[in-house]
Amino acid sequence: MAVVAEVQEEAQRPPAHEEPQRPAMNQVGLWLFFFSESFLFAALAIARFVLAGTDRPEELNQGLGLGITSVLLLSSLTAYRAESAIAQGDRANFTRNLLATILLGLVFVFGVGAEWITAEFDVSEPYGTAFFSMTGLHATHVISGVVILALVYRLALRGHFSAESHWGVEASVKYWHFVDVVWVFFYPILYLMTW
Amino acid sequence: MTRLTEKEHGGQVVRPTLRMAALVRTGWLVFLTLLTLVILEYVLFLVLDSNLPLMVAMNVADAALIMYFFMHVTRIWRRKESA
Repeated sequence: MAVVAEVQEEAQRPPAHEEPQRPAMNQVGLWLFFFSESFLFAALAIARFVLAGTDRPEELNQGLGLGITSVLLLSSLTAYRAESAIAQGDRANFTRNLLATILLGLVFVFGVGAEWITAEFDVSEPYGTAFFSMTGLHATHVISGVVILALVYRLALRGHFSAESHWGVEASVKYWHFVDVVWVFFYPILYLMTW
Repeated sequence: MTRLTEKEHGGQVVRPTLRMAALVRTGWLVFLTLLTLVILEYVLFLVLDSNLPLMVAMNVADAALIMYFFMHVTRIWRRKESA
């Protein structure tokens, strides 16, 4: 009887191509994580305007700001290429682009470090409080992104991941892009916006 | 080590090298658009006394490009979970 019931159930089920689309739970979890993180970054961005309006010190290194932003955007391109490559089963291209992403991430972190060392404003000033908080929290995320990508790279060298199974790569690369999206807002808020 | 297999895409079998080339081209186009927007933001900072509304609009465009093309936000609705 159980077999008959199963067959009847199978017969009543719509064909696969007619099944309603459902969100993949791993994707939903990751996007919810990004959503919750975005509140933290938004709070810091609002604090910047509350503390210092759109004021900024004249001695802010605009060239360095533009430079590190370009580096982070380029790292998003290499991360995208790494993910695309493993999705096609192209392991050589995958590991090469993953390594490039890690190196570009480190360049960004060193750029932020240089900005911190050479900054002629103090953390006790309203703008300084906002600047060091925002860049500090963001840089922490970049560093954690670099560590995650380095772990993925190590696993890739040991033969993990394939065209059929690469959720680890996809999730870590998405995290990297999220960190890029945050900087896309932080850069003008700290360096460029005027009112 | 390189392993490329043919896959179906929209009912047609697409050669992986062509598919990869298309993905790479999309990646470069998005990156160059983002870079142009960031440079434009810097130019706006230099020439305008009040740039906040324009800057916010451009930032939203930047974020939308990254989320759509690089983060594949629409894939959240795909049927199968990847392993």
